[in-house]
Amino acid sequence: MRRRVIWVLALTVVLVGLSAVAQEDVPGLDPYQILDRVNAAWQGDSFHGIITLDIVLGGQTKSHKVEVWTLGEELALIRVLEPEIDRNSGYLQSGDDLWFYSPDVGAISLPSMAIGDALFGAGPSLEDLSRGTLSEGFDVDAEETETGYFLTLAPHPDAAVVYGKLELLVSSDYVMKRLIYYDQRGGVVQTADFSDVIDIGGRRFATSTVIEDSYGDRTIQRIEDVQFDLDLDVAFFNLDTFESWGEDE
Amino acid sequence: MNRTLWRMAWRNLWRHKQRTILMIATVGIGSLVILVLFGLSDGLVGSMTATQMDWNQGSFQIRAAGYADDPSPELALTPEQVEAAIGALAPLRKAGITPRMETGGMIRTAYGTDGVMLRGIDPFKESQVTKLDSLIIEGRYLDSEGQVLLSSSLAEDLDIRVGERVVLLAFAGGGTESRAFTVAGLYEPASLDLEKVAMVSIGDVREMTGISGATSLAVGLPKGVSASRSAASAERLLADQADVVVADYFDLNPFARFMIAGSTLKMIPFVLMISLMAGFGVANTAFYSVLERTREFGVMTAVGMSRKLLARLVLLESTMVAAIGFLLGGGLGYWGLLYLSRKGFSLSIFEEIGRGVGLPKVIYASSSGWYWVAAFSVVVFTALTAAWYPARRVNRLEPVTAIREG
Repeated sequence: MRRRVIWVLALTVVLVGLSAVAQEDVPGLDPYQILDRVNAAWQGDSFHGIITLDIVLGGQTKSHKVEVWTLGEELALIRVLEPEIDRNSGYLQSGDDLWFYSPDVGAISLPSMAIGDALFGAGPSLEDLSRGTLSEGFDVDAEETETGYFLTLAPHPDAAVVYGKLELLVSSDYVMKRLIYYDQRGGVVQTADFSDVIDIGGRRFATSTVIEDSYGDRTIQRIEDVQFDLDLDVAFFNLDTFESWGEDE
Repeated sequence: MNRTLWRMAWRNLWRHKQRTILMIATVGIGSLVILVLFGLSDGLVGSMTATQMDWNQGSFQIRAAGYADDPSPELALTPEQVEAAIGALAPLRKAGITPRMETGGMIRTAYGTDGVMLRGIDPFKESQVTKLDSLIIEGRYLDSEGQVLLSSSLAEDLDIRVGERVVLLAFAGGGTESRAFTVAGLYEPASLDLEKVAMVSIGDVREMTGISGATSLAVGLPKGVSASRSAASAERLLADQADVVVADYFDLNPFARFMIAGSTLKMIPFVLMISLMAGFGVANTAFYSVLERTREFGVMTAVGMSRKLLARLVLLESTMVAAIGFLLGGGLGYWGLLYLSRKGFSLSIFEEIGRGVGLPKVIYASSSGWYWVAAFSVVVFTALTAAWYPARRVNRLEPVTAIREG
């Protein structure tokens, strides 16, 4: 659960970023420019959303609901709403620091590797995406398709990436449709399919994501109550925020 | 004692086969348990020592003072200390001395993440101290930087193969550093704590941690040289070097100190307990057998057989039972020990505990001859206990009373 929630945090920020990119003019078919647009998506905006997760592990489904806030590249906060037993626990990311908070045990600092571990295990990490270093570690090749672009990212031999390659299916308006991670033997490790794209505040935003790994385990994610460009205070991204929720209830 | 008495005793034993087999089994199992207990206990200590010295830690290590309490690269020996220590130990008779830089970290593959110890080694010098190079079961030994050796079990868990890329993350100075490595080879982990050690070039760990020097200098000794005496000599040779300490086998393996300390003495209560159980089990059965034959003994004394001879008969019966039990149980136990001393006994069921205390993956039983003495003590105790009271009762029999009571 912990790892998947962190993953959701990362994915949400990616989605926010991607939707922002979609608003700009389409550049020529330069794979690095396309990728830079994806990376540039991370810059700036604040975000709020309520995310429902259905996690299917070994044939059993567990549901969770979390509320997410992000501000810029460095700050993110996740509050668990459901299940009831975990209510008001959550995660706080501030730069390279990551904490888990539980009302019962308080705050626990997690190794910063968890941030790097967030997106699809050991793929491009939150850091890679947020700081635009993705294109630095990969050779990028792009093909134009009928509906958009098909990008293949092959990691440099010395890049700290454990995948053999990544494939991205991006629509012509730069909304990511599919992300596929391959191992170094050419086998698919994990896929993420994005759907239910909505227009919100001039952005095109995928509200549903289905992530499936090679073992058949799936995470189905739906985002509701989406808000962009909120007036969030940096002070909100603090462990005290968790405690104040506990006092309110 | 004449042959007739032996024949009588032997025949008496088999008048109640089940009872006799039960007594033999009691003594046999007692002997077997003692032999196996001693053999495995000594074998565990011996295997653990040999495994750690030959495959993992070396015979002893040189470290910075304080490193044992806080094993972090920040408390490594400085390059100057490393150089001075190697120089000071030059007169010591040794097979090799090699620097290591260790730090905690993580390994990532496409299929998972796990915690590992990153051990930076000098591949050439390491092979003079431990036999790591001979543990390679797939791929090859390290020959340049950017390569990593993983245990076969870790590679299986993370579904990674030789030639593939992994990401190693090193903890140091409150931060982390990640780097890609190519899996050069897989080694068979001789001990459970080696399963999660990623072996890389010492230069890689120094770069990742930003710390030069070495967290330890591992010293290997030629065959036949005492590790404890060499460690004591090293302490004398390094006496004038500040903040440099010698960590001998027991410092490196506190669990072994606990296990070895007074191990023979610790065994005595077990031996006594098993002896008592076997002894009283046999005594009880023998006594019942005598009670059952009171009338028969009365008749035998009435027709002229001496009570002393009858007592000897009872004594002989118990001794025979004990001897047969010892030969069967002891023989089986010793055969088992010889088998386990060659084939070994897997400790994989203790995987989690063993990883923390440096247990070998397989222990080889010791088959020292003196375990027979311990097992024989069970037999002597059993025979004496079993025979004494029934024989005493027989020795005091009044023929007329015995015939009437029986």
